[in-house]
Amino acid sequence: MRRSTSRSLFAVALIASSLLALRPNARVDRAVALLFSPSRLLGESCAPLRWLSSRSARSVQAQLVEREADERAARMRLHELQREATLPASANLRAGRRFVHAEVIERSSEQFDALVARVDGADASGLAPGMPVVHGDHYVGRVAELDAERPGFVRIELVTSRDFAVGARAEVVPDALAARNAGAAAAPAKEGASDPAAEGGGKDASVAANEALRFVVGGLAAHTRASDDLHLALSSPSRRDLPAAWALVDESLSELAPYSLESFGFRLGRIEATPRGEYVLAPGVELRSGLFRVAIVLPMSSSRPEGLAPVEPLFDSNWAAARVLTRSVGRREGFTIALGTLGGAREGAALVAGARLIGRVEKCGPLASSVSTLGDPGWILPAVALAPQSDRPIALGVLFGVGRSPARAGRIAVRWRSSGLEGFDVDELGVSVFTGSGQPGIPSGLWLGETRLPTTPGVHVLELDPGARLPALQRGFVRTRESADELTRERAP
Amino acid sequence: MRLRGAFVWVLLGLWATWLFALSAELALALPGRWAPDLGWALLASLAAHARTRVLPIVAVVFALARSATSIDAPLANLAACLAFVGAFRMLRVVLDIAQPSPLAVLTLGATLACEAWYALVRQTQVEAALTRAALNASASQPVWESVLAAGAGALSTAVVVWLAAPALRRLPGLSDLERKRSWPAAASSR
Repeated sequence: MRRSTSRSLFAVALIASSLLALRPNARVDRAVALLFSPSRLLGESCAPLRWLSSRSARSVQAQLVEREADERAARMRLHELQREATLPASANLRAGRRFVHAEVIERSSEQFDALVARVDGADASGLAPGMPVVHGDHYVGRVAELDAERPGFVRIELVTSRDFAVGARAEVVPDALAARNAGAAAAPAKEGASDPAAEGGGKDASVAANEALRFVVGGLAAHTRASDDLHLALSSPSRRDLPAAWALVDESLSELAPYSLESFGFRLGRIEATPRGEYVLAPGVELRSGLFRVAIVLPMSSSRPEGLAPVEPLFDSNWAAARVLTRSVGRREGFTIALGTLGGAREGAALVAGARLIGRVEKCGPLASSVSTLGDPGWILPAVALAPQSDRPIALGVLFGVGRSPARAGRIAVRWRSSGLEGFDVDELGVSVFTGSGQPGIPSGLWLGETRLPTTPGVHVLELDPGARLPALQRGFVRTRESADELTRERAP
Repeated sequence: MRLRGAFVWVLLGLWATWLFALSAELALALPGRWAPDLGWALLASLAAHARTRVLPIVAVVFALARSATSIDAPLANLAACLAFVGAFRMLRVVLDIAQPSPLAVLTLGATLACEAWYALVRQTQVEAALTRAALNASASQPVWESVLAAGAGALSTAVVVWLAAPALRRLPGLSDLERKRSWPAAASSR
């Protein structure tokens, strides 16, 4: 009887732990992390074993220190170029407007069409719901609300949202202008370098000719909801047949649009006909995962002070030093670190060395945490690339880590889905890769490595060279929270 | 007596942690994927010889040690250790796994099964993350690829068990866990 009870308990424990490992439950995970917290002491007992790799750890540390200045400089350059790319290239679109730069901090997991962004400066004074949000010459959405708990944070509703509607008109690109655009695309110019407003944004003949060609844009086209090619829905066109043209924002007929002057003339996408005879818009920017920085358009009369400094997360105090306890045994690549939730660690936070991303915290216990590094298969990160001789950041969207490259030692295999890089006349481009925005706990612009980027569309496996033997690392810094305001919110009842 | 019992478990935890950690250091130092998992080697040696009554506690201590040295989820470690020990407990009733060769073969199978289990847990996590990010969930690595890649390590673990199982189970402090009767006598008592 006693033996049978013991066997039953054993079987129940085995089945329960298996099921809970495959279908994690946050409460159970927290309780188990608490029960397993003595493992920190066991980890500490491995200190003598770390001496075995102390020489390679010192060598990696020296490599990282040597490269740190270059990586920081590359990050600063990337940020400057990204900020510049969020502003319209067209002089007409810049005129009579003010722009407030905002960095995307996160994309809600429940609501893909909403972004949380942080504006320059300490707060969002002078901003208001309804203000247009753009990226370069492209209209991407509106300010939905200002975060009352986190000053400086705004929620943006994207044009892909089901309930979104914005008035638009078609702008036919004349042949000559199309040829000019094709020429511009052949040169490695900035995205959106052609000037939609100049092409006819004012009162020129092409506008006059198409003045009556109006429609409403908002939400995803039905046939693209389940596919990878994202198209915007177009409804209520004023004419049945639509030409191949750019759709530009024009809310001048709507009395409910308080910022129609500010949004006027920004691009929504190119009109395309589907095989089923419907019309949809192909957006000019990657709205699914490539939107890292945006600009909020304000009227010139706005009271918001100008020249507010951007928030620089690398230099704030929301970092905690972390020491590696043990390297991960088994197929996965990572560390356990001597920093738990009591020390400020949280799941998803970045582990950095200088301006370089080493990994991210995967599980947190009270006293220790586990960190999966870039060589660990299965990580998902938004990323941006920059070629050394180019002033055009390339939003890569989301990268998916496949693990260590079997072909070349030290390289990390990364899967990347590309819709093609226009404006480059080479098959492959040598680039530096950095983290993009939109992942809470991971600052943008952290160095990931160097790779060769194919310019053709398709799913590619890139070989990322981190330039250092990261598994030998023995210390780093973990991001403890996004901003000082978050701490206030966490402490609030 | 009770103090001595606690001391055995503490020593077991330390040995298991050190061997797992040593395996991780070896993986960093050795070329390719040939580094053995010494923690599994110790668990196999003990599971073949330890008293039946103590096997569940051995599994829990190993889960704790594995969690101290691995980034896999603690519950995945607990399930792996319980299944590892459970399989040995069942098989040693019908097979003489105390001999080096059967023990090595069983260790090879158990290590590969553990790798498959960890790969399955990881695949589930990755697919959930891909779905949350509205990406194609089929992009994650298939389980069989992970198992194939772990083959060399599992083989070297089996070789370690074949060569050094008696030494492993006689590490200082662990001899108290060993059962006193030979396997036929133990088997006939069930």
